[in-house]
Amino acid sequence: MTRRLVAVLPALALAAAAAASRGSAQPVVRGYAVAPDVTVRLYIPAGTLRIEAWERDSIHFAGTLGANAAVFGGGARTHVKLGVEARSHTDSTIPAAQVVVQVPRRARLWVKMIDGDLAVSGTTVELEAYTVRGRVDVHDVAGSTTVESIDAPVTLTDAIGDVRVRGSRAPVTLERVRAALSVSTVSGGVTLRASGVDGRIETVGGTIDVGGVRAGGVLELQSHSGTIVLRLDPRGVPALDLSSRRGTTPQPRLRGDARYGRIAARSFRGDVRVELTTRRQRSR
Amino acid sequence: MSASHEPTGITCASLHAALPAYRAGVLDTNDAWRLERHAAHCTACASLLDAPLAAPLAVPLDADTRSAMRTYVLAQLTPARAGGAVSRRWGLRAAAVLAAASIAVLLRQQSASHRSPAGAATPGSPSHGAPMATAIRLAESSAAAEFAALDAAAQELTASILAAPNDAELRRFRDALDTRRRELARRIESVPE
Repeated sequence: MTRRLVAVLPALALAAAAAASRGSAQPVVRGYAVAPDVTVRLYIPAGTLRIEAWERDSIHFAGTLGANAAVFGGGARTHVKLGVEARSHTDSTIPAAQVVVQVPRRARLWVKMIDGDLAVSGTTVELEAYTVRGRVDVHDVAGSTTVESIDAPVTLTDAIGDVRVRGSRAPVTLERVRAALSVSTVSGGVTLRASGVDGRIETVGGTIDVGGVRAGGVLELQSHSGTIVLRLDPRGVPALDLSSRRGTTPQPRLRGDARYGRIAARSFRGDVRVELTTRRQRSR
Repeated sequence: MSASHEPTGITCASLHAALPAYRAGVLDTNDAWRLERHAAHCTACASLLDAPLAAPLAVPLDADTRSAMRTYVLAQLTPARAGGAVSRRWGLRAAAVLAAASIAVLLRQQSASHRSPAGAATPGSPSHGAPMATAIRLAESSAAAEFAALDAAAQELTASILAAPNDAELRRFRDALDTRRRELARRIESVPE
């Protein structure tokens, strides 16, 4: 028996060392009892982060950590901060993790990633999300929602309240949004479908493709060189104010009716187009 | 400094593009400040900002416009004011560079003294060191093409504004570009926060 142990123990130690050196995934689980309106800050530099709002007054943080990653943070009933940081300063790899977090529905949530996929659903008070690259997918949210990225496509569906998106190169897609809206990008396109919004959408070179405005609402669209496309219901065309310095605008001019809202679209060099479509086409 | 971006988002190329407007005094204070901040770190651009109007401009101008711009700029700079302003400005730049260098040295020393011998991260602190350098490089490289697009659009609008200085809509288009540039620069700056 002792001989066997003597033979097996070094092998086990070697295997453990090999696993550690390969940076095998380390599981992590944390839980906190918190106030229903807790302020939560999450920082996961790379990997995937899925956040779900639930009806409980607690936070559950579970997942796996990649090589060179360790969890930091903690908190009290009203404030919790959790994140992933590098174990070593000398390894240039951005620390990664695959994490699922449940937070109270009324939590105020601040999330930051560098290069990863972020999915958030169900928050009702406040969400602020920042990332450089990867993908951001937000759905079924209310209250104040802010998403900022440099090169991550942003998809936002089923949102109400105040929505603010700041993108750059990647596209921004909004569906079924009932909100006061503020969206801007540089070269990324912005698509708005099946939504009732008022507010402002701006791009420099991206296409703005909009399916309408909230009845009685005002929507301002501006681009430098991107095309602006309005897909409107012929039964209720909003009042239109369309202009392009060096591009084309619809001829003859459409006027529309302010009862259905107002859309002002301006481009310096891009074309402004209006397509009268069916409801089915617009929601596609 | 060549094509790299300041936190203000100004590059040598964008400074060249905005030079006629800067010299004509049609840039707003913020924009002029950003150009000067870039020039404080870039000797080539500093010489352009301080060069006489006869230097080649990024946007070709007709003789009347050049003459009007020259009259405007000369009217703004009486000899006493010009000398004082220039020396003050260089004094301020030198002071700013010295202050920044001192702060950088202090921060570096502080960071080195807080780092454990094994190079392990301090628990609970934001990640610094090599991983954060990678993150910042990623952000800068992701944004580089966007800054270039903003530069090109700004150059186009600046030329139009010079041709029609009283056109408020053109200025609004340009202001929108400036806002996009500031937002993008702020997002890069906020990566290590």
